[in-house]
Amino acid sequence: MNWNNLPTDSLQVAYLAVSALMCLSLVVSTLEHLGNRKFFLDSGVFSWRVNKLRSSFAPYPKLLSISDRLLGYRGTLILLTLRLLSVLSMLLGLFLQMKVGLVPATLLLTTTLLFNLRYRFAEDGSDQVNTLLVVVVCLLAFGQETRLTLWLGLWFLSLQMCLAYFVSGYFKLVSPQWRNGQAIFDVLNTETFGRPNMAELIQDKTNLQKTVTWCTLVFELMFPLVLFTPYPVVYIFFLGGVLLHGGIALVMGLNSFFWAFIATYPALWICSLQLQAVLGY
Amino acid sequence: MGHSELLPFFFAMAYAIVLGILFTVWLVVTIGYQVPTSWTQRLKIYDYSSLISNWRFFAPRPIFFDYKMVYRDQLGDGTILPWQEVQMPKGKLNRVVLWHPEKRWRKAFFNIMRGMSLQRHLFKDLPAALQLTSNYLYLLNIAMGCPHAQGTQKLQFAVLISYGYITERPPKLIMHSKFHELE
Repeated sequence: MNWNNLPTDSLQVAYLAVSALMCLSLVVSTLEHLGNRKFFLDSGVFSWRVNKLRSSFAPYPKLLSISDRLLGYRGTLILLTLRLLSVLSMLLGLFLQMKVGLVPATLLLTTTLLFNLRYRFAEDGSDQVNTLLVVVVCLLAFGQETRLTLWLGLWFLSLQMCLAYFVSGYFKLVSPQWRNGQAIFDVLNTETFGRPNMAELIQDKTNLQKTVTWCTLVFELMFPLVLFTPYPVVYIFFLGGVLLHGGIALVMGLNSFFWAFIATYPALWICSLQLQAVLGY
Repeated sequence: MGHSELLPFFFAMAYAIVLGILFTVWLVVTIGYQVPTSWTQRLKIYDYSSLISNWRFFAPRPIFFDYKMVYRDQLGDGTILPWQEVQMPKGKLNRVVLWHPEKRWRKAFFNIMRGMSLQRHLFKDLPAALQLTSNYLYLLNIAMGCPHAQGTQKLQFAVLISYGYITERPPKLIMHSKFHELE
């Protein structure tokens, strides 16, 4: 590591931090996909044999034949392996040269967009955030990380995250099941997203259900204020986010949400600092 | 000398303008997509690489049920074996915070089942057409991939809804297939 090469510019630091955290998030998610490789077989739940029928290539035999090779079982494993290698090489570049390499960025963007074609029907919120991160980080790398493009990319990420939290909070607010706290028990009581011990713990505890729900709801609705909140109060939002996503990972097993959402926080931090400078706090 | 200094000024500016337009359009489309109308949902059909995000996460209608899938085998002599449940892979509780690939199977399964459930209403006047939908084929594919008794010639599957760990409501049958030849 070249210690003389450490960036002194906060904007550059934020971009590099987003890139490094994104790499961690992608390592977890790509390894999980590789761990699920048997489900990508033709007999599995992610079967390309069936998946391709709903793909946009279905009416075009030539495209279908190319996609069979690219997105079939072997192709998918190659795609995921290449994605993992590009992420690791990007991490290495970040550590050694303090920059996002163009070759890993190109490979990462290509493999991610291709894999999304394959996995479109099963993606979750963390996959959506990872896609945003990959496209933004790679496009900024292609633009040679100029100050203007860095600001554009990091503001775009920040606004997307403010939208994500606010929309999630708003649609909970308009739902009677969420407002009365019942929804949190309902979700934790399912086999798909919950846990029997957690469902038992909060069953019939209306006050606990309401408290957890309203804390989440208020946090999500207020999250866009992160951009206007002065230092050091702004860190309450980041701490709240870490606790929320950490809690969701612990209770619901949605571990990849933690990594993906936290990776966007350096962007929110720098945009918040810039807005405060503009507003003259 | 940094890369940015090597780039001619107008190229850097042009790239920034293109990015600015791209990010603005992307953000506006994502905002529009959060309001579930038929027009905004149609956008998703053309979103091949999942660039438009749905940020509604479990709201406004929370998930309060699980989909279950069962299947049964028919042997060559016509004997029909008892129903068996398709087992969901489950992650060990002590490691799901760090490593939880099983959640992806469950999410995919849930999405297929939900799609099937919606399509069942669309095709209620033409039930045979349901068999041509990708969700039906996914389910058939999953049932085919399950362990089968020696000598099985055909299989049938069914989809049920169950109402969680703690409930007194019995599971509800959503649909069942006809018998299909095992490949």
